[in-house]
Amino acid sequence: MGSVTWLQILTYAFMALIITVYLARLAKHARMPIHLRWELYPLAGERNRPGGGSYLEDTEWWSRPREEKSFLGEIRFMGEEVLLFKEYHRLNLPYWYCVYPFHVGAFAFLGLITVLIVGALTTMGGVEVSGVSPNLWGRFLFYATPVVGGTSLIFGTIGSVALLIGRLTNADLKPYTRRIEYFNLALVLALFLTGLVSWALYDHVFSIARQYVASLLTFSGAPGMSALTVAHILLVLATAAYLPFTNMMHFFAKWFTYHKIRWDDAPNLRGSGLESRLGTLHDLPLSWSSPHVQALARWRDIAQMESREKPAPRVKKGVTE
Amino acid sequence: MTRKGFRLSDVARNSGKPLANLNSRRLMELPYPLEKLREEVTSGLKEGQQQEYETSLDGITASYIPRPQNEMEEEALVQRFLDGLKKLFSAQDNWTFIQPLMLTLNYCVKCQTCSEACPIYVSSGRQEIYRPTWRSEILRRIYHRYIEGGNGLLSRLNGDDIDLSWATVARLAEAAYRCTICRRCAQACPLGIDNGLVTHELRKLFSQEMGIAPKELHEKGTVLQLKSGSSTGMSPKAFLNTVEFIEEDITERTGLKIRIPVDRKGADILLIHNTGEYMSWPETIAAFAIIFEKAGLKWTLCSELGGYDAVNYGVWYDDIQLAKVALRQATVAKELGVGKIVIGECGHAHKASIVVADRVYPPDLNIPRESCFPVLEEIVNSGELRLDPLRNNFPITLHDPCNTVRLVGIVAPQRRILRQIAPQFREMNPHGVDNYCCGGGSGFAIMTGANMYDWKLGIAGRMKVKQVLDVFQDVIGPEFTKYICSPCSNCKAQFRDLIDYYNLEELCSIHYTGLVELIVNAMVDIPRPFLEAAPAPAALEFEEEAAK
Repeated sequence: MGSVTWLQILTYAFMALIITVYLARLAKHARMPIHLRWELYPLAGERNRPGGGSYLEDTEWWSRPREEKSFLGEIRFMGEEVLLFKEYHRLNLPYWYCVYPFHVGAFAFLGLITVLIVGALTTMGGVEVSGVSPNLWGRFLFYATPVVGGTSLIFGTIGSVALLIGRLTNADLKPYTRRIEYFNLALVLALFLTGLVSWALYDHVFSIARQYVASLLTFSGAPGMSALTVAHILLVLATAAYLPFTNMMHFFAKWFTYHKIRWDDAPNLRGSGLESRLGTLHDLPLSWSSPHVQALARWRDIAQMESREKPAPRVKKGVTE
Repeated sequence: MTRKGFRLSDVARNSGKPLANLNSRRLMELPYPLEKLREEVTSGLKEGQQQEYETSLDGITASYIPRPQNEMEEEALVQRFLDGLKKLFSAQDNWTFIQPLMLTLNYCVKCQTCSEACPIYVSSGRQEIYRPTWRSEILRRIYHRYIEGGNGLLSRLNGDDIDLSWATVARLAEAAYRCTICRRCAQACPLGIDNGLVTHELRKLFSQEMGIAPKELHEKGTVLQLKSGSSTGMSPKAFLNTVEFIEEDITERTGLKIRIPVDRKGADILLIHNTGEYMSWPETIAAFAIIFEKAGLKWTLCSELGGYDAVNYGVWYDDIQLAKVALRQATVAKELGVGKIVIGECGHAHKASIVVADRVYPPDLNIPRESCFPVLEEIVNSGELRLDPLRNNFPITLHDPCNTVRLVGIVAPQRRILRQIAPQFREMNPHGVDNYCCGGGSGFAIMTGANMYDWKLGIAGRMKVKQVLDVFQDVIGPEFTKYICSPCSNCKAQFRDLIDYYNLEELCSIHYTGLVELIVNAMVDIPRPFLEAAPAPAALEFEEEAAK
């Protein structure tokens, strides 16, 4: 192994960029103001409410202790969604046949990166990762890596092709697909395809990939790699950095769409923290132009206008009128 | 399935011709006895109206948008739309919904899973302009091109094929009123994307920035309510007269002498009904009064401006109007010194008052608000009312108002009541949080427009008619009296019109009513059936004969 290469420097730079971009996107969504309640029942975490009901089924709900949401219920719902794409399977089976392998490929790719890092750390710890390693863990990693990697690259390629063909040919999808969405799918297909061919031709057990990860962790020289493998690495980095700017980031947005909107039934109770946060929003100006809005400068003015407070009694020569 | 040659960019086509042809042969088929029905859903506009109003979406006008007189006027309107669009995507101007809106616009993958969940899209024979993603994708492309901008390549990649012309704006304004915001599409979305919200936000942009909204919702809706006390135009004096009339009617129908409390200071409950009930279904008001008095509740109605109408049409089209009406109601409750507000049988008032407006109340006006259904269930369970379910021994099904179930999460109490008082209660399929809208949601029930009537019944309400006919197929003949329990004023208005439009009373003897009427109909203290069309049980008939 030689000195640090331009590819490694680029990898470090991209990793820093990727972390920054993901944090920035997260902060952008998290910083958005609290919206008006817009929940949608059933809520996955609601306990003991047959048929999808809520605490609003109780009389005087504001004076009762709020039932804790079932974290397990939410996790189960999300788990089934993430692992099985249950709703797609139930409601849109033809699409599920395309989108499921695509996501199996994507999730397994994250798994591949994980086993490569673990494998590299294991090697750095002095344990041999190979089929004849005296260490069981080393042998396990050796065999697990191509299983996870192969699953990712095969399913990812099949899913990308299926989605691209679907979008190009299905009359319900095609008119709604923008050029950028074809580009995104083509980019992901290129990522999986270069990985697949590279694996098949040059790196059957991902040992070069593991060495490359180890070189990044130890700041040492990278192993020799084919042009195709280098192209694959560049595509992985570029896609990861680009992903937050596309609608493929929905796996990330889903946390907000479910937890912050569909399942957000937090009431504005007197004296609550939510109440004080809302007070700030009620101070925001109103700038809409329709005549019925123009008389109002701030949200708070609506309450003042509608409260129609009776004027204080006028006092004249000591006599209250 | 999308029609061959369909393009989203057609929305900007300046031919003035509708984008959809509402051909009756394409509409979803209905079950027996309407399986051969091929009604026409036509524009029905007079010559002058066609030239006066924008109808280039589908030949229907909901918002009475006048056609601009010249290009300058068109350009000015397009500019106002753009100004509104900028505000819609500003956290300061649209704090109320910016987060869900941005998530929907940024992350929808347009897999079209939501399409089959939409009763309007399916009922219409899958017209593209009614697909939940149609208006959202148009708005998305306009946003990318005109708000985000960017260089030429990015703009082209993001979809720069939709020109923001007056034709586009006018069609979007009408398209915002071809969706009932039942949010079944959002419920079906595996990603949590909400195309129903896009409808809501478009309506808001048109109302809050451009002053464009159906007159039934704005001018004769929230504006009239804030001015005169009710969207029906009912003044406080007329309200008091109506209450007096209802008291007399109760005595006449039931023999009970009940004084309905009005403006009772310090009552536990301020009960607010949809004022439409006073005008069209006073028996609902009467039934509530009978039940609450029999249960011995300390309750009141209110004759103050804002105190006797639960409706809040703002929830469908305008956040500012929503806040104004909600805060007016809260102010009245505060002045009366009541313990809580209970919302009567009105779905959208449930959603507006209890859920959507919850975060616009300042601390001093945050009066607790609750649904009538848990209150009614407690009364029924308490045994204060002597109930005989056999008095309701006829087929009854329950219509779930979207605003009560899917959007507020009140699903079980009304069912538990019905199971106690209606031996032949049967569920529609699907029901509860998965229900279908009656087709009158988001204001359609009160909108007749120039030609909205046929559309809301022939298309928007078609799926509900199918459900009703399906659930009663074993007793479909007119010899069996059947009831739809529709505990929502707007849904009742829609059922009234659907039953008339499809001739369901004559063909199938299908009637509609609220939940409280069914409760009172089961009360053994009432000598005659409270429901006009309900068959009298044999014991009652015998008693009546004996009395004669």
